[in-house]
Amino acid sequence: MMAKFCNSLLCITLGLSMVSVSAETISLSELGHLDVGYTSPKKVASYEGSPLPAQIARLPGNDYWVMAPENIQQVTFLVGQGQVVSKNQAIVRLTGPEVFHFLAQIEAAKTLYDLAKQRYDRNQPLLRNGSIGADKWREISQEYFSAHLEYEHMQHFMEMVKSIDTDTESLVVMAPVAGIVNLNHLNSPYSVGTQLFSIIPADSIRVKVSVPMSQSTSLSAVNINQCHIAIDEVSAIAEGVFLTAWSNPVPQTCHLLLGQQITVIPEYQKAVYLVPKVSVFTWQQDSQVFTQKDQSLIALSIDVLGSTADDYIIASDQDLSQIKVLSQSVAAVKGILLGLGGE
Amino acid sequence: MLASVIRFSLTQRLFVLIVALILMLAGTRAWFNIPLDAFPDISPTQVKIILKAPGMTAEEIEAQITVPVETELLGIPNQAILRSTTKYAISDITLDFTEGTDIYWARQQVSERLSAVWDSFPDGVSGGVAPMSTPLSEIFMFTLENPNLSLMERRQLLEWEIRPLLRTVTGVADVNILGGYAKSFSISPNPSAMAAAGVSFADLQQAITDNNHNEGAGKLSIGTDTIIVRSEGRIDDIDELKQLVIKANDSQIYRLRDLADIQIGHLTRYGAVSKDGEEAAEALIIALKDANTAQVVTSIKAKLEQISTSLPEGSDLNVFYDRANLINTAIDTISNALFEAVLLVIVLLALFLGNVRAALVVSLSLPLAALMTFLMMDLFNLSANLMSLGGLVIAIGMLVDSSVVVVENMVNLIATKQRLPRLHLIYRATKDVAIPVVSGTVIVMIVFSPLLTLTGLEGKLFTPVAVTIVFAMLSALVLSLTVIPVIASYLVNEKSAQEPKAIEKLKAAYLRSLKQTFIHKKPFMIVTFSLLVVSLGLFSLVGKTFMPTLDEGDIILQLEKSPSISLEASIAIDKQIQITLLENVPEIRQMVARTGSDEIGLDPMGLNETDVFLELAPRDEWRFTDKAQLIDAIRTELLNFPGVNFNFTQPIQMRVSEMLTGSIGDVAIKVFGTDIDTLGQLTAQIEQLVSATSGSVDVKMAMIEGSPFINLTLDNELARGFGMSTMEFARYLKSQLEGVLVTEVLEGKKRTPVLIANNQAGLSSIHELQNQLLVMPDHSLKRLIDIAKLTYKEGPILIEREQGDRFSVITSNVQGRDIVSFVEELNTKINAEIKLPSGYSVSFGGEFENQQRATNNLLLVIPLAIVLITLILFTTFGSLAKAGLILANVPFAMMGGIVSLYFSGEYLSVPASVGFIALLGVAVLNGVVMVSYYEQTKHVFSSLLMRVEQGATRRLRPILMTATTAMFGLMPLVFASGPGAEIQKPLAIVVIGGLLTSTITTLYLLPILYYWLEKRQ
Repeated sequence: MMAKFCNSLLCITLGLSMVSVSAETISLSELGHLDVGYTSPKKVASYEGSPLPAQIARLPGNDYWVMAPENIQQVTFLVGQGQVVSKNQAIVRLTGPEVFHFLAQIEAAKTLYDLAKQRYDRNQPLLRNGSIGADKWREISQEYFSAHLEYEHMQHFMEMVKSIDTDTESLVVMAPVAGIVNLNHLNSPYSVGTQLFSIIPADSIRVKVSVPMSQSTSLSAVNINQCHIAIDEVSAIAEGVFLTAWSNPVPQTCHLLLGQQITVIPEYQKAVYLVPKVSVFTWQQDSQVFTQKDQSLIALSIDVLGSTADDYIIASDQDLSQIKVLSQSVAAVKGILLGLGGE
Repeated sequence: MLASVIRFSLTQRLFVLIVALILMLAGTRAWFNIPLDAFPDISPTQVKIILKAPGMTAEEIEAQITVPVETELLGIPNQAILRSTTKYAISDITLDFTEGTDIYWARQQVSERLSAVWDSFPDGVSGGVAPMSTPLSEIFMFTLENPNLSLMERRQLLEWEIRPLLRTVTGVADVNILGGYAKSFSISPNPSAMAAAGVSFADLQQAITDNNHNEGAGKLSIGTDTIIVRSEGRIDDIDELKQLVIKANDSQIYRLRDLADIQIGHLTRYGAVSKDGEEAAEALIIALKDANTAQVVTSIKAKLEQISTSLPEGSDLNVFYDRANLINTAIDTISNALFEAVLLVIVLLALFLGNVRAALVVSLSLPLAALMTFLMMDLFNLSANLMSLGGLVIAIGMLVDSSVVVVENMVNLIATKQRLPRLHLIYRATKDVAIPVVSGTVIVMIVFSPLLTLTGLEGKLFTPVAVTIVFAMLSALVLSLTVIPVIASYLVNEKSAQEPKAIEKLKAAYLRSLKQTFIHKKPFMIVTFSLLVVSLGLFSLVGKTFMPTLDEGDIILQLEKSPSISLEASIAIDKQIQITLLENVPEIRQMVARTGSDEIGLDPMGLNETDVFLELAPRDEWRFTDKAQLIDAIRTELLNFPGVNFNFTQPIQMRVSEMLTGSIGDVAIKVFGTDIDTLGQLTAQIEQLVSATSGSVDVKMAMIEGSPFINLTLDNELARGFGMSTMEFARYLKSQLEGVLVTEVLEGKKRTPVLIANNQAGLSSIHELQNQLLVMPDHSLKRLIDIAKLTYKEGPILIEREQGDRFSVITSNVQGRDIVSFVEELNTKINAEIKLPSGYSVSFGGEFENQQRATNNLLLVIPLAIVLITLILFTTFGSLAKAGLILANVPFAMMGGIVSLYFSGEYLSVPASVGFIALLGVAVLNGVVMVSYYEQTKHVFSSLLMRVEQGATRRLRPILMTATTAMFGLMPLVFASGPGAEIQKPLAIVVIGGLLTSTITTLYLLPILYYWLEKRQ
């Protein structure tokens, strides 16, 4: 067996030296009784590439943040973390004496605002007839706008207050918009200005995928299990050799969770061909197929971009859809190129 | 002393007969005891180490495995040659020991040395000392057929149900299961999930390995009792494997199923089996060295019959190779030849002696000698095979010689009607010829003794021949002086002593022709010597070969495809060829093809190599008269499959080729050195020189370089930043391509390997490989191309080593000139034209080496044998001149051998040379018979001429009897066509041809030369 192995290697060496100086062409008449079959490469507009690492993330800047209006003694979340909530759905109950301090502050702010507004309204005719000086008017205006802003600020929070329970000294804050709630669980007290929760709008939940720069321009969509999601935007700033691409909003039917680390199958928008795997062979470090032309088979170099279960996805400068590619006995035909055959 | 033996025999006739009867019974029993095989064990004491290192290249394996093992083995005493072949994923190291080394001692030595070096091997290396087998060990092969079972199920059944049962059969060394899919549990990690969970590849591997254990903890004494404590954690099935906890913290538990896809998969296939165009699973039974093959096969068949009742419904064990067929055919061939020879010899004896009683007495020496031979074969552990039984057939003609001489003399003496008791006449007749009979037999034994000095393959084949002949001749000699006279005393009477009329007429005719020859001495001498010269001329025209190919009756078709072919593509081509052959060659009953490597690694073939076993229809159903024509028909079909190399061989022939140095060809030029590139260049240069040397044909060069591979080099600076080491990177790559064995799951008696592997269709392009994701030890995800550089590289395809040095080989056959001058010319050319770098050397081997070895052995021993014969002849006749006279007959015997060889178209080979050696004995024996009579009758005849003429006439009958019995005894071998016939045929042709001429020269030339010699004295 060893001797036979060595003999064939000799043939192969001779074969290689012979074919390296000429194009690899084999006449069909040389194929003897080998079973031969041909396939026309199938042209497709897009193809699936190698898996890419991805994450379900929120598009930055779209979150709705809700802060604590006061130092809160007790914060009770009424929904689960990551739950999809509708607008005006109760989210959190704030309980404690400070809640009533806050309400009193609103009342005080309202009174101050009313007083400032009355004074502002009354002094407007006086300013027009020159009864009061400019300095005095600036002081009245500042006081009015300051009280107005203070009151409006508190009023905005109150717009999110669904209910107030004086008995329990609590108020319930509701969702200002629909989306996914991101609760800020703290082990320490919630002081004024601390985030209570944020609402992530459903349309800002996307697939964030790192795509190799070389393929970023043709990336059109990503596939996760049975879910097909188109790409919305691709960053123009590189992170190493990758670019970050964002998909369109993730449909709820995909059952993907925010923060989930996944592997996606990228889909590239590029005209490529599918050829059977059994058609492709390696020749001098190059992937090639045998194409039929008249009564000959001619080896053609191809660029393999990926594969499916049965086919290779190949790119070629030529229009392959009109040609026939050998799809049977390819290894034996390669053997002819190598000079094998006979006893 | 001889007289005493004869006297004792004739006085104690009953005792002798009883002893003879006991010996006959013991001989019969011995015949049933003798191990039966087709061929003698031709292997030296050989220990093979097969080490598998999946995924490793030849160069890596050589450096990390082959060289350390070789270094360790080189110190073992009694070794003849150490050689190794290293290929992708396998290292095959063979150590041949000197003749006579005990195989068990040798294996123990090798095992000890191997275990000493084992710890230095890289992870994942498996294998060890191969089963104790020989090239003849593959004795039985079958496929398991069941349309209801998948290939994996069929393999499981073979591996876990049938194999363990067959291994219990005495004489079975191992059962090799091939083809189908070896079941595994395949874990395909999800890089994203692992990265998110913070589990690296090494963590995953470690967690699986560490959590599949049952351990004994010790014993707990409770009061007066002791209870065994053990920890349990072994995984029992795939569901438990899925539930295995890989990582857990306060809030999260990561199970294997969360981090990977777990499926039932299969081990990477290094080979496959296909039957009649469909994939199959087969079992190959390997017999132990020195096992009684015929008996082992019978036991295997009995066991299989027992097993088949418990197999799933629809199962069929399809036997496609059964050594018993070859053994039966071979033994039938030789038994038929033996039977025919015995029959012919008896007829001849009856014709020459003209009396059934006398013929019967002589003929009785045949079965008695044969039975005594079997007894001695049994005592000396010699198996019954083509060669040993062939030796008996060769000896048949000579076996009766002693008895013929004794009985003939007896008959002559009784015919003189002397007034002496018949018993006394028999005693005298036997005693008179005892010394020539003993010296004749001793001469024959001495003649065959050079065969005992043959070594290598020829030695293994012909030593049993020589030993059997010696046993048989010795038995015949003892019988002729003991039992035969006793039986003759009962059967031979005066009536039976009368010479037949035909013989009388023949004698008269011979006397007339002898007288004429004496009248025309000169022309006769001129013609005779001219013929001798012509025959010497013919000698140079006779084709020469080392050894004829033994016909095993089976055909193996070897196919070879593109070296980088995938297993699937390789099988596809095999299927095409199988279907075509089955359609167009009806003589093929079924075809079972083995592609790639076997499991044990005894035959480490590449994926591009296929051995196809052809089971043939009975010969009476063939369209052809012989196997060569059938092979031609197959060849015609195969020539229609370009791009595939093919070759024909036979099961044993194939294994013998692999057992030997692997250099098949008249001359093998081995270039030793270290650097692969330099070796490659030197090999190419020498190959050109060989091709340019006149007489070279079929020049072949072994290429050792040029295997393409993809090299992935870790970008250390970048990868280290993520904590990735080269070893972890290599392991990861292996998991993606080959699969990494992490543990085994025991399901009853089945062991299912658990692999970390890529469960998907697998990586099938460079692009996919480059973009493959991997979890870094810091749990980040990276593409392979981000941390490693991919390049194409070429490296050695295989590395062959001998005595610890690398070598490459060029082989060539030689045509139209003698090999010695070819080698001398080539050696001069190499020395003149090729400057070998320091540390490089060239040596010559191949069949040339075997031929040289055999020739040197014979050239040393044959002259010695001739000297011994001369000494015996001198002792017998007391004259060196007469001894020379008898030896002068030898060249004329050789003349007939050469002429018959030339006209029969047979080649001069080792068996033919053995024929010439046998001829030496027979020619001398004839001369002894003639000259001894001349010497005995010195004082009977008054004139020298009368003595010569009358003596020759009286000796005509015994000479013709010994010559014709020897010739006709060998005649069946000339016409035999079964396995083994081709090796015995040249021998028989040489002896028959030589006997023809030597008988003529004994009858005509010898009397003239004797007359001339006596006259001068």
